[in-house]
Amino acid sequence: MGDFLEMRKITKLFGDNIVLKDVDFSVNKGQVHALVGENGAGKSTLMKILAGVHVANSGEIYIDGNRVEINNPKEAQELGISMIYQETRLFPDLNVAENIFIRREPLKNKGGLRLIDWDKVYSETAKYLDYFGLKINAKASVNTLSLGQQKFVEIIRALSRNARIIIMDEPTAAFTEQEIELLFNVIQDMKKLGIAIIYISHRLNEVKRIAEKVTVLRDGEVIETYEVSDVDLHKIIKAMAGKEICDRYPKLKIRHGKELLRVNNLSYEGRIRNISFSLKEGEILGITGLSGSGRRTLAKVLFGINRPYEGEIMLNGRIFKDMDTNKAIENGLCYVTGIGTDEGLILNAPVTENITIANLKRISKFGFLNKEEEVLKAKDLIERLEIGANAYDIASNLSGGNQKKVIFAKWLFTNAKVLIIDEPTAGIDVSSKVDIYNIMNELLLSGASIMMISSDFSEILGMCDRILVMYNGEISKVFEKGEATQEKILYYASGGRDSV
Amino acid sequence: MFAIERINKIKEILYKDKRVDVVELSKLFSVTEVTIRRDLDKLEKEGFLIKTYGGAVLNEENLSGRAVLETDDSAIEEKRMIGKIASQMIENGEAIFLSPGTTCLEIAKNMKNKRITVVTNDLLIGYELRDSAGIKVIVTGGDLIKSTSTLVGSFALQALSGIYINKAFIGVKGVNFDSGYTVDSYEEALMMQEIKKISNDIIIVADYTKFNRTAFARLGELTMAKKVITNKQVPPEYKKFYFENGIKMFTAFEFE
Repeated sequence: MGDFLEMRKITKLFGDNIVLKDVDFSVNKGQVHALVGENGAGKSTLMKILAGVHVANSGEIYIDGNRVEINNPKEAQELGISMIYQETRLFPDLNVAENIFIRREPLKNKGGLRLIDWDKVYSETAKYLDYFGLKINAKASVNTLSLGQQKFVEIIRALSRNARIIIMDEPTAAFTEQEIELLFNVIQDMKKLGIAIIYISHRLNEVKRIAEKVTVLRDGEVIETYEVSDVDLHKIIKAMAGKEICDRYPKLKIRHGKELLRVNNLSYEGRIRNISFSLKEGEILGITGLSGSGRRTLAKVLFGINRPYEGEIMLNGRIFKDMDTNKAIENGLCYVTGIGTDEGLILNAPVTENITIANLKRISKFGFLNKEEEVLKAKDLIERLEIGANAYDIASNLSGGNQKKVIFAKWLFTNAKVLIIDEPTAGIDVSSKVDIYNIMNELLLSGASIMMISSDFSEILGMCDRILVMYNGEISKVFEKGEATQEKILYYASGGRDSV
Repeated sequence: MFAIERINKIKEILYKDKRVDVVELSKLFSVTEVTIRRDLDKLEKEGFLIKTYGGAVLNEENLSGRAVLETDDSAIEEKRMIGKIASQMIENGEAIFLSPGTTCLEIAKNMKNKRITVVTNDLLIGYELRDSAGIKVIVTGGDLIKSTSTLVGSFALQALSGIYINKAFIGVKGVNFDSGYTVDSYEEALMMQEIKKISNDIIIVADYTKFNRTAFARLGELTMAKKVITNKQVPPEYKKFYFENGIKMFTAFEFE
């Protein structure tokens, strides 16, 4: 071994859950080592341990042969480790140079006063921008830059702090084609500077282009580390997917009825492009893909959160060229969000209010809210959905499974016919999972249809009648029931194409 | 109180008093009158009662011989829901086996418009399907267990030889991590062992009251069937066990 950075036998638990088990990972100077795996495989957790965000339960880290302790982000930074996260972490109202030098501006002496040397701030910044051939103005405010350009500002900030190890988590998720090329050039330049780079990505084509090594993580364990030059795409995908999980999903066969939703050529700000599909009564349509594929953007456009869009949404027999949330709800479409998102629950409000909020008309007379009626209706839904809580419990005190059920209850209360369900079972206990699948069956039996967004491929395979795989904002493959396997989904979700 | 418990209570009151009153029931259960009326609508659809002004009366015409024979009429609402899900799984052209008991009787009630063959060793199930034009009904024959409608013994076993079943719905009296699935008598268990051999797909049906219980004779491990139909009130540890062992667990959640 003897690599510049070595992580040895890293184990991490969250509660009783083992998320990393005896993971070995290393990278050398001037090298790119890619880290791949399905959502939830443990990639980000491993890197957050290196960046000092999490502390491992056991294992050792060596830099340049010396054992190091990393207990917090500051210690990581002092060791020259810098992580560039998926979401940009810049001050949007400050300019490029201010962001790069924030809290460590170069100083100059002037008549005994120590002042910020602004000339130096800007000249240093310009020097970096020049070095990487970036056409960005050092004085431009960050909120005027594209997401791609912001990423470059973060990379420069890391380098200016003398980073020796740079971790990039899905850097190209919001990039245009040109920005990706630019990033690869920047990475080549960083290699020449002797920087060790760890590159987390779902896009295996990119990995093949820029990395020397690739490590596959699955369920918190290292499956294999390959030399990129002698491994092909299919081999990596096989290692990522693992064995097929036996069929344990309570999928009921339900007759499909008339079309409830149709989408024609939907596009939004380049984040989704030319999406078309239809959804019938009694049907579950699965939408899957890896993070950054545009699944959630699609849901938000349909529910009228992200707008304006191009294309048409046909719902309830009407064509909408300008959907908004009110119209969506009025026409029977709802968005059952993931738990822990802003749109899901009012965390400091009681269960009752969370259930009735989306349809206050139903419990009001002459504009007055009937509190008694509100509680009775809410209690009825609490009982129907087997929610382990009382009407007056505060939502934030509920378990993940019960929170998700409350979100379901909220939309059942509006009698929605088309339900977009985002990550139906992520972060909830197994027994609630089983309940949620059966609730979905019941919704279908009552004449509804479901669009299920999930990154859990076995759940997608187990519950859906049809599966749309998304990659980079587009539908890369449509599978009918029975055609898909985990491996096939991964292939199309990682940028594979039919012609290959 | 759960809606189902309430409906079961209303049924009890109807059995006893032969009539109910909407206002009284709404006070008794502290729910709105609208809720009670909805419950009564449901029971009227099932043919259980006839609505009257301000209340309802028991539909005595519709009480078959069942009330005399059957002792197990607990959790009847839950059994009805199990019957509904089971009927979704049955496809035209299939050969189905229904084991004795009220749960499988509910399945029979829910599949009357299908075109299938039904084999059963329960007299009441055979009788229930007497008017279903599309269903060929085969009752096994055999020794009648006293005070029940269940047929067992060598005649019953003989009837099963040389036939094959697509889906066998087996009602059990006990579901338990230690004792597995259990039924009331050794003879019944013998019948079910034979069914296991001739069936493609075994589906266990058991309402939630059967969980954490053990009856007299053992059918097999909890993993013997790949599908289970039951109710949402089942203890969470069973839901977890089934999912983790690759067994599909179906439950009903009634929405309007």
